[in-house]
Amino acid sequence: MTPASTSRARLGGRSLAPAVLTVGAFALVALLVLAPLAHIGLALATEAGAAALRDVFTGRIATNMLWLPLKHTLLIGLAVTLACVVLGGLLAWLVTMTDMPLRRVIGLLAALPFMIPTFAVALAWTVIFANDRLGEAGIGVLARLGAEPPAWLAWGAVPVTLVLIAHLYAIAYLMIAPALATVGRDLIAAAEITGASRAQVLKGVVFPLVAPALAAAGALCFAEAASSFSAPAILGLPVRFHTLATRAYGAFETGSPERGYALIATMIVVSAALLLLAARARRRGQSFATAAGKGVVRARMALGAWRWPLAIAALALVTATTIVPALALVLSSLSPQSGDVFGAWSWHYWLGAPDAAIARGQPGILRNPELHRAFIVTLAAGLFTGVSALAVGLVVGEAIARLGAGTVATTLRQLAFLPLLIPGLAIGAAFIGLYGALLYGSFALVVIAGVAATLPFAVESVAAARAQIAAELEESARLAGAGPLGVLVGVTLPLAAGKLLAGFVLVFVKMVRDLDLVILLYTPALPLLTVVAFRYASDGFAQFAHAVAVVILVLSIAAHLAAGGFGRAAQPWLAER
Amino acid sequence: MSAAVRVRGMKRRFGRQVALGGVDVDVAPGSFCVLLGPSGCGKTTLLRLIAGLEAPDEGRIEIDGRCVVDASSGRTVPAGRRKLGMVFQGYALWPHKTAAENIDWPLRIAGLDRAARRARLAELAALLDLAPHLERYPGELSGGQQQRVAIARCLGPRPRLLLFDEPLSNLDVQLRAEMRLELLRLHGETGVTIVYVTHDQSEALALADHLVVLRDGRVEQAGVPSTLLTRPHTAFVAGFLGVPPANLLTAAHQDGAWRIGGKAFAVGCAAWGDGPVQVMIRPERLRLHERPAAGLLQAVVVEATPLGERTLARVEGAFGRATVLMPPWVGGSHGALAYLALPPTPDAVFAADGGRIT
Ligand SMILES: Nc1ncnc2c1ncn2[C@@H]1O[C@H](COP(=O)(O)OP(=O)(O)O)[C@@H](O)[C@H]1O
Ligand SMILES: [Mg+2]
Repeated sequence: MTPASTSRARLGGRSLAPAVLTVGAFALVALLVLAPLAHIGLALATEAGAAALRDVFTGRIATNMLWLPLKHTLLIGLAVTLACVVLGGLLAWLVTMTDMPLRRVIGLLAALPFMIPTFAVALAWTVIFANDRLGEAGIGVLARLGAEPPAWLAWGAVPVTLVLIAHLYAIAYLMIAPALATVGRDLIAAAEITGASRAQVLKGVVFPLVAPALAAAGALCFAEAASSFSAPAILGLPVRFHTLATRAYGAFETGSPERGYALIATMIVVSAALLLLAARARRRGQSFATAAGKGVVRARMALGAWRWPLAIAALALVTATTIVPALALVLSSLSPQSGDVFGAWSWHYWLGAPDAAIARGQPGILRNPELHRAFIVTLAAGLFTGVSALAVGLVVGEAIARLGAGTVATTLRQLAFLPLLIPGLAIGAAFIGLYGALLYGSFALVVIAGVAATLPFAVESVAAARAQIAAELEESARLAGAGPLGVLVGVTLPLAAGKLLAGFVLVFVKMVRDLDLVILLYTPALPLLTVVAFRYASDGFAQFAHAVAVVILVLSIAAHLAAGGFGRAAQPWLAER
Repeated sequence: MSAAVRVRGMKRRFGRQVALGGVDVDVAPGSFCVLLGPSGCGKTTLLRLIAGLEAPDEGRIEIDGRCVVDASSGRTVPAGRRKLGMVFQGYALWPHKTAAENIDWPLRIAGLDRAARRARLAELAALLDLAPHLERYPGELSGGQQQRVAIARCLGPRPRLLLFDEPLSNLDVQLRAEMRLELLRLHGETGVTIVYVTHDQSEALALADHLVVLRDGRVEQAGVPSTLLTRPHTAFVAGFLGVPPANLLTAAHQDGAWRIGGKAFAVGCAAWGDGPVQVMIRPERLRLHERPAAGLLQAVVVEATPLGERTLARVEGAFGRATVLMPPWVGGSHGALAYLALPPTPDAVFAADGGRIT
């Protein structure tokens, strides 16, 4: 499909005047993205804000409040980014370009960690690696087997980094694999014919072509790792290991939001600097994608003697980040104590009647009315946010596409992608500050914050849906005599539906499994599963937390299955020979 | 003198699909050899085997007298050491390099120093008229320009053998005609041996000094184009080559005579066996008449294209379809009745399996 024909494609709303659409799009983006940012900025511009900035940057507490956490944040962010790009890139190369055995299974599993929330992986980590820091009852499988892990492996920087890698390398894989999959075999053959060595071909042709994807993946991994709250909260706080996110959370919880904002502003600035760097690499890259065009049959590179060793290593990686944590959580939820997976199993934490001797009389999660409510509220939050985000995404995405290439379109697009830079925690905090007086504790606030946080994904999925539709397809339907509604129902929607559904599921799953965004929005009247699990974990009811985490896992995987998210459409390169 | 390219017993399967079923080809040094055949007959596969981008199941290939691949001994020289250039069907220009960088990279790989590369780039830009476009990326070039960059890129290291895979198929008709001339000029100026793949027989006839017709993974006939035109070995070659291609009409032996469409034909030629045969008659040896007469075959005019001095007509009847090239036709066109006159003897006769009888 030529760029010209895509840019003429339309996704509904044909009758809306472009001006109305543009104004609407800017209004939505202002409300969802600019308002919270402005709120943070304004809060810092007040006298209290200035004092907070002083305290945080130069005060007596500065080292503990900002500099040390900032150092942790940067180190974790860089380590995670490096590891994710290397692991995700290698995996993508093995799956798309080599004759590695089992590559289809490995490719499918490699997409899964994205669905397993960081807080669940962090909880799973404690199931296996915890030492007696939180009491005898909480020790993990290894300690119970007599192989107590060293302190640095149980808590703090190392486990936080590893847990974030386990979640984020899947994102890197999913961003790099499509780029590799479009490097045509002739491009590589043309390089080989010149007599270039394999290293020269990789350096001169393959690497530059996927560099934009590598940069984008790296930037996203960094932003996600640096802003993550749940991993350091679960694995860092027990040993007073802080990142900017946990410090900011502490500031909000202790009623000094200005300090929180000051820390969050620092996070945003750091992530923004990196994303801007990546965006430059990417802009150069986008023109290549269209030029590479079709004809992407590839001869697979023979790995020779390395075939099986690499396959086994890859399989170990994807298993360790998917099946192992899931299994750890399931087993722990059935065990008498967290990590005591060889003890007498029982369904108590799932189905048990209240027993004053266990967990202060908490019933099993499946008979706990509070959990039922949390389940329904979470599901509703996912559904409503998904639908609303897609509606907003349609308006914004359509406006961007119709505006074409000018500065207005660029501005709108950059604004729409800004939430990638804003940690979920910050979005939650800013929305409470903004609309809290009116909406605090309301379902609407959760949905609005969710829509803001997922706007980039919604806009992206609308763009992907538009790319499915060549203008000629709609035009031929109109020439065949179909009215505007007929074209929309008969041609446009069926063609776009797949990508839109995928976008909906992405938003739904993010909402269902996300802790960072909703941790501050939570009120007892508005329970959400992730927060419930987090509370259980902080209250020392580990197995309840694990059981709830399993429920969340099942929900997000079921949503993906329902939308065919594991099918060939999601990873078309898996279908190639 | 040894052949520039010698292919012997080449076989290649993809799963159950036989792409090449035992192919022999000889290309003389400095010749412009065209591999011609319908889509899917194995042309690209053969070219990629010569380039070393594909491995044979059976057979061997020599380039300039040196064995570059031999399936029986397992010997193979990697693509990069065969000292050849290839222009891919989609050009395969590296999209992240400008035209100049695309041309420069192979020179750098070949180990030329900066000054030599500069000079060679200027030379190639002049040869292919690329100077104004050197700083552009492939995505910013037209199809014809991209193609010239692709040719310059593989000419750069002065290969002795150039391979082309349907390089003109993405261009419009006029550009295609221009590029043909360019290619012939290039061939003349550089003296490089060219193996050129196409499915377009008029392109093949315009370019080739040696023509190899492929069909279903086998060579139907190879030789000088004019020989293939005048002395086709098979019905397939007869019906595939020529502008317009020759007619193939089915003749059956009935009541002691050969008949086409029920009318007796080529009286006295009983030596063609006894099954039905395919009779080749060139379009210029057929005539159309407006009135019926003894021995004429009734036909319907499907299309009559005036060409100035002549008219090209396509007709249908009990005999099948035929193309007639004759003096200007004044009878009715499209749908009109006409009467086809056959020459007394055919140009060639083929058995039902396509083999030549006379
Ligand atoms: N990589 C491949 N995998 C499977 N089948 C192939 C492959 N390459 C070619 N073929 C098959 O081999 C036959 C010959 O292909 P090709 O050489 O590309 O034909 P041509 O270039 O003459 O159109 C075709 O039937 C094609 O489907
Ligand atoms: Mg081909």
